[in-house]
Amino acid sequence: MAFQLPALPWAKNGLAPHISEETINYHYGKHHATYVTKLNGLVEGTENAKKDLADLVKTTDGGLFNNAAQHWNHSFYWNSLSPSGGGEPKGAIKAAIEQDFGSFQKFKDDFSANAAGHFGSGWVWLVKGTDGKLKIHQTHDAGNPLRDGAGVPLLTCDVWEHAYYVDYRNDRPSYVKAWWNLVNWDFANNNLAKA
Amino acid sequence: MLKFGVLLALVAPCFCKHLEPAFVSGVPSVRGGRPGSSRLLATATSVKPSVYEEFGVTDVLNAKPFSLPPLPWDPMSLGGISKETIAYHYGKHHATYVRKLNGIAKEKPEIAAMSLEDVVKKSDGAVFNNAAQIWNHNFYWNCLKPNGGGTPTGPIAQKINEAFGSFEAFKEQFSARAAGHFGSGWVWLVQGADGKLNIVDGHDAANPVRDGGDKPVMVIDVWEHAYYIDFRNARPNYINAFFDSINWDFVNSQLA
Repeated sequence: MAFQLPALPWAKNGLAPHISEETINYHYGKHHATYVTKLNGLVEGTENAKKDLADLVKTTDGGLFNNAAQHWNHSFYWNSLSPSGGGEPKGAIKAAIEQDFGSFQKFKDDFSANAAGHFGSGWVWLVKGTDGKLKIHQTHDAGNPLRDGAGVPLLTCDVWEHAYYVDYRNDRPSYVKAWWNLVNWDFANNNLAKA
Repeated sequence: MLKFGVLLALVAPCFCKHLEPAFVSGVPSVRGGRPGSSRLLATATSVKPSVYEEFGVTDVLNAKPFSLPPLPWDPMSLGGISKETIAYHYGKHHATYVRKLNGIAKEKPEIAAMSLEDVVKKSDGAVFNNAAQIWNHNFYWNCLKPNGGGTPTGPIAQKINEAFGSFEAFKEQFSARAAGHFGSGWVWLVQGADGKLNIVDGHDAANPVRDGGDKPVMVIDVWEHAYYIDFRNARPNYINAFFDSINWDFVNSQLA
């Protein structure tokens, strides 16, 4: 079966006013959908059509990797956001953040600086590293922690310009602030529990 | 023509101090009255000072050691590319690269002492990124003009035919490279040491001057900020707008 665009975990206007319905229409309806379409075009009739998406992300290169990883990354990104998200972390992720970054505020400042400072297109991740510690990790373009071995992804913030230009133009720091109002701590806790 | 040349001679020193020699090399050719070159720089003076105030860039227009060059045309006039895009692209992105490089130069006197082109050629990391983005944007604005586009004329027309077979074939190949570039970057028409034209992709801030010495002749910016306001994700429509605004006089002036 061909790769499919997953349903969004919330209504298209559910993230407003932090992220608008128009942004979701383009980001999910155009960018993400196009990666899925292109991925299907690239794997059609090949062994890769039967593979798991994460396997493709881990093992392929070039256009195939770019489209597979962008499909994976965006699917993960939608789940990193929630209309009822934001605020202080809770549960195991709160304890892990405080242990590995000193405080939630320190983590927030560090993550925000990484997101604002990433040059070009890419993603900023919270990962559980191979040493068991939480880390902030930047990837470029379609880069993905599963592929580069940085650890298990817990959350991600998309810093491609298409993620924020409709709502915030060049003002990426305001988009990052909006991201903090939506961050899905339940999703992070679920990922941490499995890591 | 002479009048424009005189005007330019007065204006050029402050505008061109830190521009790459290719821009500066356009100056003597205008003074010499070479056909086609005068309009390029004459229009620079037609942008009202209030535009720079509106864009919030008066601090960087004459900044040192690196400055934001004035726009070569009125930002209302490009047609397919809106004034709002120029306000952000030139007034925010381009201006910010200049401010950041000047901030770096404050801490690093060796950078302050270099020409912009030398910084592009010899530095790495954030210094390179900011310097190259200044260079690339300087070059990009000059590749555009109001009511530009159409079929090229002059030596570039022949060079394009030699390298690509026809203008249509070139347009198709260049457009495909620009549409297909993954992530942020630039797609360049360059002239190699053998004189032949070629299309090259540059990722992020990459610049042919740094990468191997091919001479840039034309560039399209394919960072999303170049087109998202006007065209959203439809990069091919932006590429068409670019082709409708190409300043072939400038492209001709860049040929070796």
